[in-house]
Amino acid sequence: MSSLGTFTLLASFVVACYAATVSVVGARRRSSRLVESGVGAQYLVAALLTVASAIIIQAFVSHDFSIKYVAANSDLAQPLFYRLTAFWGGLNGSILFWAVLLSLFATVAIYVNRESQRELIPYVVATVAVVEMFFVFLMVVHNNPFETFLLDTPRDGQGMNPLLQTPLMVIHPPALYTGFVGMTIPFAFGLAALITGHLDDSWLRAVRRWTMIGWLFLSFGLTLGMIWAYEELGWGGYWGWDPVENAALLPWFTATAFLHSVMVQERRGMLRVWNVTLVITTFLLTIFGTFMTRSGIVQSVHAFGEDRELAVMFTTFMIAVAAFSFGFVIYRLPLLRARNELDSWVSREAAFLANNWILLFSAIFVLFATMFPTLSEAVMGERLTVGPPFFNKWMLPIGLMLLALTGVGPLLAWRKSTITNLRTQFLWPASSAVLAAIVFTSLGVRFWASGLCFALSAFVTVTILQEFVRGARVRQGATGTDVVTALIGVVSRSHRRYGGYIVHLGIVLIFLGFAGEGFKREEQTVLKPGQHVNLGRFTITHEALRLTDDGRKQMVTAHLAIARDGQAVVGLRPGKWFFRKHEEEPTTEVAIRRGFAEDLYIVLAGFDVQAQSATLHIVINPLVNWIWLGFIVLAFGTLIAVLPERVFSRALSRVPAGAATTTLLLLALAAPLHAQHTAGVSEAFLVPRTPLERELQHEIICMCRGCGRERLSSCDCSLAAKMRGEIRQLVDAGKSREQVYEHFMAQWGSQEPLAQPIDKGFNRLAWAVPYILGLGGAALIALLGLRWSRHAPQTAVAPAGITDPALEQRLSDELRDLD
Amino acid sequence: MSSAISTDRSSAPSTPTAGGAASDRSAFRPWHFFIVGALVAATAAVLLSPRNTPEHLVMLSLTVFAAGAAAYACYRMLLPLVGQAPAPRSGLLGAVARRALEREKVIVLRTIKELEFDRAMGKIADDDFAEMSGRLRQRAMRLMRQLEDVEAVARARVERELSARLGGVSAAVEEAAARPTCRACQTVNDVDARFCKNCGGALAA
Repeated sequence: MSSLGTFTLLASFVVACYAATVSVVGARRRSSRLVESGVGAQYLVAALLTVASAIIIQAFVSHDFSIKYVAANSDLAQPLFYRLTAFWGGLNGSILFWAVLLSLFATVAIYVNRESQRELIPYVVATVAVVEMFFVFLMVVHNNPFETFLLDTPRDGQGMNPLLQTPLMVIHPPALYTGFVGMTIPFAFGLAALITGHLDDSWLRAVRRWTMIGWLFLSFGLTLGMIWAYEELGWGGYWGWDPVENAALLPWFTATAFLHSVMVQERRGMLRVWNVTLVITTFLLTIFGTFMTRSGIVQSVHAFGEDRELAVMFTTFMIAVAAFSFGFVIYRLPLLRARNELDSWVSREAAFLANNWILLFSAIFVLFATMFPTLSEAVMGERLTVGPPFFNKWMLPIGLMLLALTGVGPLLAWRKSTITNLRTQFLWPASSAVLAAIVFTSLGVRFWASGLCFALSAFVTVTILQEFVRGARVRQGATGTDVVTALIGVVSRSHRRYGGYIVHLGIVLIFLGFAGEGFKREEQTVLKPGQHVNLGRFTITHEALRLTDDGRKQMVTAHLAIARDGQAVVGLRPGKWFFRKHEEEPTTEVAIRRGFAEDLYIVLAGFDVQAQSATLHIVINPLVNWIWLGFIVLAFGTLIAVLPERVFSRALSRVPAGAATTTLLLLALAAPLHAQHTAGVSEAFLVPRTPLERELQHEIICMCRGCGRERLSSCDCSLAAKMRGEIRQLVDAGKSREQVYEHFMAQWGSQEPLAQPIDKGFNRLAWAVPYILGLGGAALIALLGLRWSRHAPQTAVAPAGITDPALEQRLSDELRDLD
Repeated sequence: MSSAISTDRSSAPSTPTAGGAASDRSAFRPWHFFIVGALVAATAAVLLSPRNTPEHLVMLSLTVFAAGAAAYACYRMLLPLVGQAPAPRSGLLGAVARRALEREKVIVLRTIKELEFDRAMGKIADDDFAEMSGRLRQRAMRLMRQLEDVEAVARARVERELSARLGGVSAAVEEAAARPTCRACQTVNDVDARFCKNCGGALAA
């Protein structure tokens, strides 16, 4: 079987090569035979890669341990479900999975657009084929999933990483990969448009829907990743600014920017170069994300391990793609030059410019901060850490600005808003924002960050409501129907706009969830049976510690009784599982009591079987479920925006759009979740006694390299326990914060143990670059805006008119009928 | 407009991309063969397989079906190279151009609608609305004109071919003579044109 698999890979490489060549030749010679054959070849690549995938899954199903990849990622005891998904559990299989998803996605996109985008299709096929060739090439020369053992086939495999044996990890990679490969389609169309010179707006229309689908999957993948981190990693949060999380976030930023700026091009014909650039950048970032995960260039929980050779191949490919595509952008600059005019800074265009600036700033900032340790190591020879405190410092104001724009943008008019417009549009949203700010600050919420976030959320929500209500009223006036029918009518007619508003509503919910982080409360404590601890409204009583075994793993479980406001509510059972063959990495079983207002989140950080005592890490996470809810709303909105008009009108009366994704996510939430943070053998967890000790535990990271730079306050491996012990000794000896820093820096020979770099020497670059980027971007936009606004007077020139009453009448009739 | 779309759709299935399939829908088509082939192969594989756990057999069948799809794709790849020459592109291009114009027109009309909607929501100043709406209406009318032209050309070609097939007299010559010339700008227009495609002026009958 393995040789058949390798042969299939080789064949798909040859066919992809053929598809690329024949399509380009066919397009240049205007030979429809060759072009058709190229399209057929693309279908064949998809089919061959599907066969290859089927073969590897078959090998997993039938325990064919002669294949190295199968032996490394499964064993005889593994349930069928996880044997199937082990396909994408390791490096080699994940590359094959990536390639097959790309080919299938591209096949659908090419099939759908082959008639309407006849001129572009050959080059789309060629571009996709080249990307496929790259990934198949990687497998053929370096990461062949079908590689076999030359001698001594093992009797049993090593089993999949316990971290991945969870339903969430089964859906998370496919969702994220689909999002990533989805971004290849806009790139292929964009490049085809550049090559052919057909740079009117038609390629954008072909691409927009695919970008939205890719974007939806990317968001879905990111959300699942957050849920996974929250449920499984057991450190009490959902986003740790891990390099690989960041890698998936980067294309999300640029794709979001593209989805917005594309509207400016459709409406006003502006920003053509910019849109092409965004599409290319998004694609490059998806490749970069894959590269980051697989090359070992950064340290992360997700990384597959270090691999220099792979890093070289990826770098070469990325440089080649960047050079080729940006070369074409420069070559086509004359065609891309568009009528750019900015009539006023108080206009929708200006809001979109600001939105793009912020999103791009976020992308570059996150990229820079993620790569800074690598950069520092290359330049200064010192490895350091850029951890969550650094990211949060910047991303908090950025996020709030973005949230504010979410509300402001829809209220502004295209071209320019007059004072009267502004007054009628902003009255309700602005008043509600002020009201919310007053109410929340008087309730004792700090204004900066949390209070402001609530106020802005109120602003955006009222903006959206106002849009729906006014839209429905206008429609009601025009058609004379009742409000609900008018509302449905208005949403189905401008489904992209209103779908977008619903997405904004989802974003508001997500931001509210983020704001809840400000009210998070944590407690670490050691309890013996019968003892209890109070946190917030909850009383947690330790009842017993149990040891059980189910054949695949040993389980240590703490039985806790939870009471809220003195009333018993539920029993929670956080635990630790020791999987066979992975005993040295027990997984952490988090116990969560979900609530709309807050989650009670308990981790069994350590235990002592003799004394029956349990060290518990207890967290109260307010509003966290709003993030997941926000994603469901976001998915619903995207589906409304993405559905073609006719489907929409037909489906309107039946099932609500988004039911499938929503159900899927709800299932993911409802599924029994196993704990998966692999931790070292448990040690007693030192609970901080002084505020300085607590803060230091937050500011210094665990150096075990197995936990992905978790902070000492949340990591429960043995090294973290040792480091916590050192902190306690130092604090007890009366050392200051700086002295503790110095102790750890001397011990590890660099600044790496610190969660953020010290603002000194080369590191000052890390602190200065965001300012430079932000100000530089703002200055550039201001400059462009000024240049464009000089063209403004031309707009008064009316085009040489057609004055034909009959035609005018027909146009008016058609406009009336169009509904 | 509606007639344009209907002729357009009816011509679509005969394009070369329909997999070289016969236009008759009831006939045996190539992909039927591959499905039957895959079914037979899957049955054989299931019968001959040494292991017979359900998951094994299901995976085996799926693999065989994927192989069937690959075989069909291979056929799709090779057919254009050896089969009959695809239909000439000129006729097709007319249809494509018309469809593109139609699409463009719908988009412009929708944009006008959206603009009106924006004004009704109080988001746009009246003079801005007048200017933007005027420009869009002009564009829509230009597109409607172009569509009429394309249709007229297509109709003229059909008539020409028809008359040529019927062995009639040299229709083309007659037609050229019958083509009206605009008095204002001297542009030669199509036989059935009522307005000049260049300046928009009415053509005298």
